[in-house]
Amino acid sequence: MSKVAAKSETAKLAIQVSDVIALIEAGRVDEARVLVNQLLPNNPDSPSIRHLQRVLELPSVTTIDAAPRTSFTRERTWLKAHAHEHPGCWIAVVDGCLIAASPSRTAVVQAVREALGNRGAVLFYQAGDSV
Amino acid sequence: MTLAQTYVGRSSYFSIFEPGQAVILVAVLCRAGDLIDQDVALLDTAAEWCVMTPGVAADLGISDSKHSPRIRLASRFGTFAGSHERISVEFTAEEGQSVSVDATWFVCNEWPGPLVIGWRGCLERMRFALDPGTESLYFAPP
Repeated sequence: MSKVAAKSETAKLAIQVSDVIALIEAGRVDEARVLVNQLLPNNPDSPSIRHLQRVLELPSVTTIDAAPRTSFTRERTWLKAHAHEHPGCWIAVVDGCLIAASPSRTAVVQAVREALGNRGAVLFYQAGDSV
Repeated sequence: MTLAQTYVGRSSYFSIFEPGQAVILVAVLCRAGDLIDQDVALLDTAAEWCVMTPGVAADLGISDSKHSPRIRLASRFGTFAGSHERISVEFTAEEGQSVSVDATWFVCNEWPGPLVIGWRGCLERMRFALDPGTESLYFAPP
């Protein structure tokens, strides 16, 4: 392919990607899905088209064969009663107890791992008044 | 007439107040990607897409990919530019079985709102129901 032809193909692809994005931004997602699936066979090596096809395809839903988690009631109760006391902070709660609260999610997650290892906590960001 | 649907799992939802913002009317717990912890998310059938907070995205190691076209999302916080990314989300059962959705998220480093579970790329393919009497979220594959 000549340089001119390649440039033309690149420009055409950019327009096609823009068309898909315009449909997404307009809320016409079903049409975007149709268009991207029409474009994919002719542009199988386009990372943008492949990415759009992937994120637009209908999601799969699968069940997880694992024992149900124990109730989160105590975490929910704590958050409803106390989360407002930590504006602007990430909060980690387990079994109705505060593990950590900090504006830094990284610091909170680190504190949770130190306290609980691989056991999970419930994380919540309590927005501040100024937001 | 009696109509019956079946679900594989149940968790609870709750409402929580965010000063300066709004009440998160239907707050659910979910686990994004391979994270260990549960995050509180707003379940919003009126939200077009799931929206990931910058903190969760950072924990998952998600950064703007050069292959992810920039997309604008209009919201009550304004209009934001970000990208769509495919990341699983698990609704952990307190009874029955959990479900995992291979969901599409809008990811934006400037997003000021909560984690959002929205319609496209997630709820549109789940069977789910809310029972206000018990504040329960029921879920299943479609």
